[in-house]
Amino acid sequence: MRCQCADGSFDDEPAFGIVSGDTSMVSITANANGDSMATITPADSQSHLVAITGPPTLVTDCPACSADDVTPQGSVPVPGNPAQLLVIGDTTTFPTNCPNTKIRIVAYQIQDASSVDFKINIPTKEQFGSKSSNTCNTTITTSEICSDTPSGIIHDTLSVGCNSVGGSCGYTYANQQWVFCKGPASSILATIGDLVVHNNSISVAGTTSSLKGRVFRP
Amino acid sequence: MKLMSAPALACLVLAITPPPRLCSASPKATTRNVRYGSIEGVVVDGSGAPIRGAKVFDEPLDSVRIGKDHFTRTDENGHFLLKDVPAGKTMVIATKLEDGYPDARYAVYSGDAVLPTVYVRSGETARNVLVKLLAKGGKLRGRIVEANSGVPVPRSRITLSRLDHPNWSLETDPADDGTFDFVLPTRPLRIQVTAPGFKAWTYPGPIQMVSGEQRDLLISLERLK
Repeated sequence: MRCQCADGSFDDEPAFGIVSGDTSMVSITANANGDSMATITPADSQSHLVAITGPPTLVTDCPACSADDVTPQGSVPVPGNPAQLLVIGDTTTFPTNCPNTKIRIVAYQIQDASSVDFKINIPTKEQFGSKSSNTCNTTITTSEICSDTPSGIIHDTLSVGCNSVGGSCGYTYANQQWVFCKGPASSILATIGDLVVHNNSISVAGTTSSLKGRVFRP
Repeated sequence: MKLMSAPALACLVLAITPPPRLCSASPKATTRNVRYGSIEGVVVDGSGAPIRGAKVFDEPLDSVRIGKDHFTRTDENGHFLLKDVPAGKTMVIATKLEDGYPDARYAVYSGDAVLPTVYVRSGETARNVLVKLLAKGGKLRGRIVEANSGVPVPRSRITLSRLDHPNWSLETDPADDGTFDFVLPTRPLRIQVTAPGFKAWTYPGPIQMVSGEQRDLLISLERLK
């Protein structure tokens, strides 16, 4: 737990206790340095008061905490459930491993229903309504199994890979959706639409132009 | 023992940080029966010194990975173990943007660098792969604004392209406030900015960064009459 002092410096204190209306949402673990880290798992779209307490600490060099022995304690708002995706970047370029085929990288920020960004790791996966064959003859690996999404940002890379057939080729994966993986249950974060991926043109949600600023909901 | 005062309570900032992981993602799902292996090796800079915290990616040559990034990070000795790599031929690429090494995954930056290609066998680990970062580049920062008002220009796009292969380009968006930030190699590049309803802007001549340099650009776009 981190206390910001009046002079702008920070005073890190270990945290060992939890006080919350719903302790299933909060856990404290030690990181590799032995520092305590609080992890909050939102279970709904409500705000909750969560107090983190630590052992009494003698503080003499921190004006903001001008008392002598203190028990670090604070509260944080708990964000709601991941509920939508905001496109924060859309890049088209050519990869080093096969520089004559186009790739497109769409960056999605995971947000709650109030458009608040999630800056923590969120487990996600993608799914599709249907998939055409790939006339470029490259085997395709997707993200259809739940995995980490560091900082709550999905970088979705689309490509046909190295085009072994020469001319125009590609595939269509219809009705792409991103899913929030939460235990055995999952919920749709966003329905993107069709991916039409060719060696020289990549359409997402019906456009080859940048999607920056667009919000996708379930 | 006593509780902190209300002002002190208000200044508490809780670090909501997930536990560190070596591998940020390990997605694997396929449209065919893909098999997987691993790659183990070391990332070094141009002098051969191991690099800590570099990102290491596999870029398959006879298959394609779509969806989320797949990478690992090197440890304090520059060592890495990249799991869930589709079997077959793959290029191994390392980047460390925060220290000024350009992103070698993209042809516009990678130039003529020789990047290692390994053959990964199903269920096995390709070992002792030496991956060299690109030479350190320079940081180009900038802001795109409307000439008269100085406000950010909506829907502007930045295009970087190589002089020797103009088609090997990269086109992307600035941030909402019009700012952008690139780590560029030391080879000359062209840079152009476009936006609907505005005259295109082109940097006068190629832009060529010096290793370690930081350059700032203010790009003022004029409206079409």
